Amino acid sequence: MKAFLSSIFSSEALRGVAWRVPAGAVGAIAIVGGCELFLHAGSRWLPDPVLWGSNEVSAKVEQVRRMAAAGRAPVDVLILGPSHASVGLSPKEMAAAGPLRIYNGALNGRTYPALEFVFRHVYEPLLKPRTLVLAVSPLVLNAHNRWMERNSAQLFASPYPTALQASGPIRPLRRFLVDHVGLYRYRHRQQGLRDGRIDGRRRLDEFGFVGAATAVYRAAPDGLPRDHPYRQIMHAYDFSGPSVDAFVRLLSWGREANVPIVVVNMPFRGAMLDISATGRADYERYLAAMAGLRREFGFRWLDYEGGLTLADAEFRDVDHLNAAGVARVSRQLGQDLGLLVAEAAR
Amino acid sequence: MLFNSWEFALFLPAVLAAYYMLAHRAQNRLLLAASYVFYGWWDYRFVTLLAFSTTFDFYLARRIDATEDRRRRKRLLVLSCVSNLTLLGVFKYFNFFTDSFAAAAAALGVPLDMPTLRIILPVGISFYTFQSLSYIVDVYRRDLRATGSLVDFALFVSFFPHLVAGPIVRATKLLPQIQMRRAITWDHLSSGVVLILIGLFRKVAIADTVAPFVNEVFARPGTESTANLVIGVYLFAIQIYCDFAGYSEMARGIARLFGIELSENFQQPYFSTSITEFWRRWHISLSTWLRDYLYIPLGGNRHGAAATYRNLMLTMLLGGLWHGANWTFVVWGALHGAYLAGHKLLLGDRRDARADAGGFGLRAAAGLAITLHLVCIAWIFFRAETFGQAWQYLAGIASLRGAPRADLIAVLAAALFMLVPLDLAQRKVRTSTPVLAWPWPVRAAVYAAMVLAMFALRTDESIPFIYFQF
Repeated sequence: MKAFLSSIFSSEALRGVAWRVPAGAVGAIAIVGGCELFLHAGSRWLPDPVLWGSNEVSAKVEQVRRMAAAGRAPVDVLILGPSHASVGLSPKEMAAAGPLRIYNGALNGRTYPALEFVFRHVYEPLLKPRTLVLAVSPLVLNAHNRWMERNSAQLFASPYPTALQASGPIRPLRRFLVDHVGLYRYRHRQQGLRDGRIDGRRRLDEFGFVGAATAVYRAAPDGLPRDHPYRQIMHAYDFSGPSVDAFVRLLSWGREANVPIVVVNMPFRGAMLDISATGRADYERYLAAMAGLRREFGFRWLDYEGGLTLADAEFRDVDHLNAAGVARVSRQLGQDLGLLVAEAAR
Repeated sequence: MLFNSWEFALFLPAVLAAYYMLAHRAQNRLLLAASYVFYGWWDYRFVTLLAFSTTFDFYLARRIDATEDRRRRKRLLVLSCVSNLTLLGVFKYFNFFTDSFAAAAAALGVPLDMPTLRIILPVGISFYTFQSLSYIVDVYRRDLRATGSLVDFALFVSFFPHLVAGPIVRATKLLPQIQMRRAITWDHLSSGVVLILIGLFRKVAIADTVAPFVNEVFARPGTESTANLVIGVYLFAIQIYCDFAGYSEMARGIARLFGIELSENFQQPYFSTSITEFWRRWHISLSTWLRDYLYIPLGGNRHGAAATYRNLMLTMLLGGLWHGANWTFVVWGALHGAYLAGHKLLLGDRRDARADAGGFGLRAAAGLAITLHLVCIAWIFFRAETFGQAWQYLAGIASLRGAPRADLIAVLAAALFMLVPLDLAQRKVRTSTPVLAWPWPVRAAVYAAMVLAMFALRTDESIPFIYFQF
């Protein structure tokens, strides 16, 4: 038995090793550790890292963390959607219509799979919203929106989402690295995230709103320019794809979690439908598909494209509101949400 | 599983810990199991292909070794070559040959609907096939006795540090190390860890940093300026060298932790002052394989100048095709064949004694510049996805248009700043781990700088090694 065991187990492989103190390695560990300590000690004054692929997403995640830590959760309403909601719906204006705690979690240029990801991992556990507002348009719920999908791929490939998507024993290790190891965190630097600043011009307000533009949309007689990215998206409308799937998953979540969902059809200019000859008919198909989903999931449908008559002067471009439009649409949404919440309370 | 992945960072210490506790035979079994897990991590289905190829060659080699009948030995050798090259042909070259045949037939006005296989290329198949072939040929030539242990032979073929991207180690070098009890010394451990660090630094801090810029320039050969295209090919030269040499250094470092010495694969090739010297320093394990098992059997330089040039060209064409099933690789091989033949034609076998001695004069500098640029021209064909893209790239360089981009200049400068001192240090003392001879504060600063550079520059995705696809 002893002979058998010694034929398998033996430490003779390392028996001849004359162990020495690896002074170079110890010194290197000390230098790297020193850098790490410096980063931790100086983190108060150093810029935050872009862990979520863009300054805006990183800033919102950080802001939501601080809100949760300060006990400002749950919120009454959480808004999700791409840029037309992030720059088009101001919670401050909405709150003027009623005492609601609202957070705008919409993410500029991101598709619904990216929104769903951030919602599941950040917004839902930290903000615990009582009502979810999903801002939609045919541009967003569309199988051909490669432009926004590329932006979303950038989010999924960034440090924090990749850590969250890791599986097995790697996941806690990567979470630890992104959460606690300064050398890793400070690989991507940017200015002033701590105060919600996204870039040199824009800063998040305390409700996650990026700020409204003052420019005014002027319709061109020939419609959108030839090289406008929306032409690629709207030329052959298709109500399917990853964004529609993620949107439906959010509706399912709302039904299962018993959280009311309000879907807002965001306003846009007619030029967007005039991109293709079938644009108007495509839009009717989109409305029919939304009606079908509404029957299935029972969400509240607020059609601001058809229900509010907005002028060119209230738009910044073909589907983004300017300051005047933001004030009007946000107040309207605030009133509608106030009624819905009161109705739900009864 | 990539060497620069977190999975491997857990896998290696676990295997090492178990390895150091086991006796010799059990160590071999553990290494074999670990190698198959390592390979199966990528795609478990191809483990059976590796096992089949290994077992088949093991038994053929035993039979070649056992028989004295020359004709029978030759038949068995041919059978082994056919089986190995058939596997390689089916998995790597089938679609290439059928597509090329159909294109040639279509050009002659005979449209053919050829079958296409939707198959994945098993990672490392070119490396382990060549390694098995060299074993069979060595046994056939009586340079080596066939091993009687399937475990030892299977470990020789599949030893995980070099399984998927080389170096292609000869059986005469690796098999005895597997068969004998291995004693591990402090030098094995320290030099192994330093080699891994240098290899990781090359891959993560240099190759992966320049990769996105190379991709960007090669994606737009029709619109980038001449200067950007030139910088793009310089960056690719740096990328492919650091990617592959980094892998080879990591493989050698990891093997040393197990007490096993693998062959050196690179010796600062871009300091070569002639194309012949370049091939003595670049992918040494492949170039010596091609020399010993292809060039010399073809006749080498023993049958006159014309036969020598033909043999050089054939060897390099096949060397190019070995890299991938694409005409761009064939052109890359043909260019190098032409360079080598041209060099032989102009200079014969004369060598620059001063450069060989490490000296560096004006002639050597000119030779270095010419060699580097000839190699870079060939890299354009190697990197381009199609022949048309390569021509477009060359036409873009010849157009003399536009101005350089500041970001490309900065990346090139940063890559050279990291690479040149490392290669100069290695070249000066003719060892891969010059840092081990330096005073400990300098060593500490160098190690820390490498680690910090890797943390600062690493991308979030693990970028696969370029040579994995071959």
